[in-house]
Amino acid sequence: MAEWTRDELVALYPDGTINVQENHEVRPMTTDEWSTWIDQQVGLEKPADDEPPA
Amino acid sequence: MAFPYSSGDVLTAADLNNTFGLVHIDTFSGTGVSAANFDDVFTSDFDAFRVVIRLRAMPNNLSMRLRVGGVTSTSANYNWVMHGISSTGAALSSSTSSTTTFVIQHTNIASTISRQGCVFDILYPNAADVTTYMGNAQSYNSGGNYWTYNIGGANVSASAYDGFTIFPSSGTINHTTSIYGYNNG
Repeated sequence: MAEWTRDELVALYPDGTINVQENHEVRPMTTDEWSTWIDQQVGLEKPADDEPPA
Repeated sequence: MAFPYSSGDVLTAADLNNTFGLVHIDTFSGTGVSAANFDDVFTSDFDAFRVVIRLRAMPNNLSMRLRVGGVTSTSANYNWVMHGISSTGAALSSSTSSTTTFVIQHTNIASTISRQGCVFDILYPNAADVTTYMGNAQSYNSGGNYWTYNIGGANVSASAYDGFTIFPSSGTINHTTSIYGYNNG
């Protein structure tokens, strides 16, 4: 399986699109949180892209 | 008053408190979340809890950690097992000891329409003792495989916890998570 690159992750998950949840509050990550999260995802295995039956 | 009740019975608070087996504590929903923290859900009113998680858009395995006072426990006290079979007959057998998280769902597909979920019980999380969980999960993996499997494990810390967090090992999830307490009567 392929691994994520930073460029791929930034394209897929732009700043402002990743949320964190504290109980009933869901908020976008700050830019610093997002950047750290992106760095943590680099090198992780990509999921498959096939679809289950609808 | 003895159960079952009859027409005309006047129920007291004690009657009602003894009637319900599962008591709804809270339900949380989130879309596009990298982690979802649920605090103050393991109340002292109950010893055992039922957790029901409905998932969409889960691109990778789902993990769980215990929390107390808003802080997630990341110590290597987690031991977990996952054992089941796919709809194409493949075996799923996965486990890890003395690690930093429970793994409660197994998947590897990016689809936003994939339907996945798990139901499990957590026993005595709010006691200063080992916390165990056990239940069942269902997920969809690449290649047309629907997986159904038992999940379970133990956090061997002698700590009490009041909540937990769930998070995918990569990407984000859409979820609805409901938590219930087993009524002790």
